[in-house]
This record gives sequence, C-alpha cells and structure tokens, in this order.
Amino acid sequence: MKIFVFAACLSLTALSASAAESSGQTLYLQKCAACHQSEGQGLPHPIPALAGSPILLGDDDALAGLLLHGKDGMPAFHLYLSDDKIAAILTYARDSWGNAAPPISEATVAAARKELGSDGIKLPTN
Amino acid sequence: MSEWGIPGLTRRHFLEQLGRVGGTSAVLAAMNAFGINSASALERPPELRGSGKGKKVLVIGAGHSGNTSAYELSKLGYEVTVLEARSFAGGRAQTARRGFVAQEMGGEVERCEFDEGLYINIGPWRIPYHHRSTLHYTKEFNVPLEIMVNDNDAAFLYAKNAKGGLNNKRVRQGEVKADARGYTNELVAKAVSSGKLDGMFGAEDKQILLDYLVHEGYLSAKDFSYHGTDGRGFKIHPGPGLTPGVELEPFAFSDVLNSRLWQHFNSVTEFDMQWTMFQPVGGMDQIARGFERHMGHLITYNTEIEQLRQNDKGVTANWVNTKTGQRGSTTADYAICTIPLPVLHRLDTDFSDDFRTAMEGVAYAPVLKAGLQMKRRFWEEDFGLYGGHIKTDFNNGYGFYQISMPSTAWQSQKGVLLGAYIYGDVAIQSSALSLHDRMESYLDIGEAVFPGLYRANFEKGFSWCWHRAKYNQGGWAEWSQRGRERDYPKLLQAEGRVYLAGEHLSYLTGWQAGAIESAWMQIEKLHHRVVQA
Repeated sequence: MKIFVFAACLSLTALSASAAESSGQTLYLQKCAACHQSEGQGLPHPIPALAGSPILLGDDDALAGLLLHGKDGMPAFHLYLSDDKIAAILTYARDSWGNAAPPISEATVAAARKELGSDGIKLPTN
Repeated sequence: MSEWGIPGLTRRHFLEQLGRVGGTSAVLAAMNAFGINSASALERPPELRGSGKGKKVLVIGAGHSGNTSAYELSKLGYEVTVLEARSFAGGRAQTARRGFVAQEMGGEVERCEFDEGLYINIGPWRIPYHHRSTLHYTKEFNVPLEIMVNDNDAAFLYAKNAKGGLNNKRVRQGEVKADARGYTNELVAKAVSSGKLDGMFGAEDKQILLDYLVHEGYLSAKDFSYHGTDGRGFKIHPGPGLTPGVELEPFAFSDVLNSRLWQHFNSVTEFDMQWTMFQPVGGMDQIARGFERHMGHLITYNTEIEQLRQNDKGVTANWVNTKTGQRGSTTADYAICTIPLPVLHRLDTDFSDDFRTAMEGVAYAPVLKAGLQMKRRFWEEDFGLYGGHIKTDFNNGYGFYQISMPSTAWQSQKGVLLGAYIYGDVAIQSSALSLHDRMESYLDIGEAVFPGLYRANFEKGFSWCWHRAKYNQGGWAEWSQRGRERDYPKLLQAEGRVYLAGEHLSYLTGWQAGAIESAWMQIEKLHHRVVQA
C-alpha cells in the first residue's frame, strides 16, 4: 500500500511538472524574460516594464495582434508560438507583478492571427 | 582579364562603347543579354555630378551605411560629421577577438578571451559573389578576401528526430545527396524506359531524358539501377600498390527518405548562399577598418544621440558623450540617420506621427551567435572537414541547428567553431540563460555529433545576442508584406531634412550589401536635392 501511494505521488509530480512546462509562467520565463525580465520590470531603456503596462492591461485584440506582429525589438511571435501558448503567456502576465486583468483566450489570439492574414514574414537566412 | 572574361573590357566600358555606336536601344538590348535589367542590386556608387561644397551633412551611425554615406559625400565636397555611439566603427559588422568587451542589456559583462589570432564574426560572416556593392569597397580599400566554405559535401548531417536507420547516425552530406538523387533517378528512369511516362514527351526526348537521368544519378546504363558512386566516399581509400580502394555502399532508399536529411540541400543553392562565398582575411571587422582608413577622421565616437530636431534651416542632434557625460549638439543642413528602427522609434525626435508610425511596420529578428574555441582542430585532423557546416535537426529557431567550421588558418593548432547561430524564440530563450548555461547547451549539441571530442577540446566561448544589444535591438529588420506595402515606402522618403539608411531600407535585410546600397540610394536623393536647390 505504501508503495502504491509513493508511486501515485511520483506520477502526480510528473504530471504537474509537464503541466508547468507549458504554463504561462514557464513560457514567460523562456520566451519573454530575457528582455522584459523575470518580474516584468523591463530594462530602464528601452524595454518596457510589463508590471502596470497600459498596453498589457488594455484592449485584448490589440494586445494579441501586437504579440503576433511584433514591434521594434520584439519579434513577430506569430512565427514562433501557437495561439494557446501566446494566450497562456498573456494571461500569466496580466495576473502577475501586481497586474490584475482578465485572461486572454486562445480564441482571441486565433482571431488576431486571422486578422494578420497573409501579413506573414518570410524568414531570411544571413 | 575583366570581370566578364573579355581582356581589357569591363561591362561598363563595353556598354558605353556600344551606346556611342548603337544608341540607347542597343545598350538596353545588351543589358538584357547580360541579364542585368532584372537585377535590382547596385554595383557601384552613384555617379554624382556637381559639388556639395558649403553644405554640412550629419551622419548618425558609423556602420556600413553611415560610413558609405560619409565617404561618398565627402568626396563630393560636403562637410561631413559622423556621430557614433560605440567606441568603434562597423555597427553590426563586428568581430569578437581577445580584448573585445561587450554587455547585453540586462546581461553580464562579457570579455572575449580567445587566444591571440582567433576570432568569431558575431555579425555578418558571408559575402556572396553577387554582392557587388560589398565587394566594391573590399576592393577599393584593399581588404584581402579569402574563400568562405559555405557548403561542404564531406560535412556531417545528423538527425535525432528521424525514423529509420540513419537516426542518431553521423553521415556525410555527399552520401545522402548521392543516394537521394541516385534512387530517385533510378525510379524515374525505369518508369520512362518501361513506357509508363510515354505520351509526356517525344521519342527523341525520351532517350535524352534517360541519358540525363543516368548521368545525373550515376545509374547503370544497362538496367538503370543505382548502386552508389565513388563520390560518396570510401571504406578503404585508394592508395599505392595493391590498394584500389573500396567504395562505401549506399544507404537504403527508405532510410534516406525517412531520415529527412534531404531537407539540407536543394537542386541549386539559394541565391544568397551560393559559391563563390567570401570573407575578409582576419575577420569581418576588416571592412570597417578599411572605411576607417579612408574616412575615420570624420567619425566622433562614444557619442550617443539623445534628441533629434529640425526646422527649415537644418538638423540638430543633441548628444551625450558616453565616456565623459559631456553634452553638446551638432547642427547640419541635412542628416543621414542609420540608427536601427527599434532604437530610432523610441528616440526623442520631432518626426511626424506618420513617419514614426511607419517604423511600427517592422519587427527585428532575435539573433544569437556563439564562438567556441577548441584546443585542437579535430574536425580537420580526424575527419577531414575543412570549412562548411554540420547540419542537425536540433531546432535553431528557423529550422536546423548548424555548427560551422572556420574557413581560415587551416591546419593550425586551435580554431573557433561557430557553435551556435540561432534565431527567433530559440535565440530569446537561449539569451535568457547565464553565459555559462548558454555555452553548456551549445556544448551538449556538439557533443551529440562529436562524442568524446567536443567537450574535451572546448576551452572558452563567447556569445552575443543582437536583440539585447542596446544600439541595435535585433539582428536585422524583418518586414511583413503589409509593412513593405504600407510603411516601407514612407521611410524611403526624406523626413524633412533627414534621410534614413541601413539594411532595413533594402530587400537585402541583414546583409552588408543592403546597408551599403541603401546609403547609395539616399545620398543620391540628397545630392540631387542640393544641386537642384
């Protein structure tokens, strides 16, 4: 019985570890924190802070479109991340570091991607 | 010999002569024959008449576009000042070698500690033969070139996510190429010879097609079968005396298909990547040194622009010296501004809303490069790999992770591998790691391809990512289709007295040629405006 419980715990741990890998927080740390930093504080100039960011906390559609299209040094994430991952990242960022805005749904990102249409980027090699 | 193989006759000279005799239409016909009507690339600086004497031009940025502008305009008599934020010229065309110190935004201070004479090009590293603009200046400035081996059939391909017998196996590109084509040609030749494709071409073409398939795929002329070819290598190499050599046997067709290693080559290499590929001897920064020798006296370093203002009389840049903190301003009649768009977009300027908004049509590419100093050139000594790229199916952001071997200092003791050249979200993710952890991850990949050798020979590394470079914020401009249509044309126009230049204002983004040619385009506009005024 003890062995059974131990095994059950192990599999639970494994499950939550794999869930964490695709969680908004993990994705944020992998794909965003190099510039926006782990606590969303940004860098003095020119990487904007995400804590309290009016754009992050503003219009859902515009926000999803911004991530997909990219701006300035922020790349066009439509090339790299699926709708559910972008939604998970935005939802995490909107609910962290003192932010309190509602989640962004996968459907919102999908609609923004549709809006982007053929406005894709051909990846160059150099 | 001239560039076109006719002794003593350059193409330009030929066209000029022809124009005198046959007029414009003869010239146009000849240009079509040369195939240059369709070529968009500029080959040499615009031939500008008239003088710029008495006019001041402020050039912002001492990368290739800024230096090209300054060099050419000063030849016309303009009084040119170049302000550069960094302490050296060249912009992204940089080479990391011993003593090179850099710091990414939010990152650790990184010192390149390669042994004397070793280096890695952390920005551009290739000059294709058709980038005539770049080659114009390497020639003009006597920057010695050497061949950059951009493709090597002996180099390894390595798949770790494939099905079939080639997975996790180190194979050579030539083996996979020969087999993929040989077996495919065999199939087609057998279909043709057995009449399955009759009706698709005439009897005469049918025989020629068979000849072609046999020739191209090294097939048996008797039964159109493929059994390998010596070009894919030997088990026992031919040698002296009684050693005729034993050829390697071909892989199974199914293994070749399932390995997907055919993804690494095409019928013809994409235009930008073709032979002949060059690199400057001693590092890509030798081009910047060439510019400096000819116009370096015009450059003021460590001068970061804080504000750009203009009125109907001129342009004023307010700047701060990053070493002394001293502030000052420089005024000129016109400005060529080469600041990368992510930086310029956030700069304090009095650009119109329309012009500023146009900069939002572009996003820049996250790019990371790492050089790994190895104490022994095991790729040369143990495997006979002299330059070229080892290609894997590890994700590098845009496709395949490659390890590139140096095309210089052959057979010397040590060498620097380009151990990472990664893009996009993969580059972002890698740049979030500490310098130590980054290097560990690159070593893991190399170790999979060279077990027992890669880590054992590693001495020190240097990595650099352009998206965290303060004065760049990205490797190069990535224009979307909408951005090209809606925004790009606006940025090509002068904004008052300010002209933008840089690789971002070309269809050669990320290439030195794009920077140089955009400068040629803009100085021509500027000069016409001045002489017409």
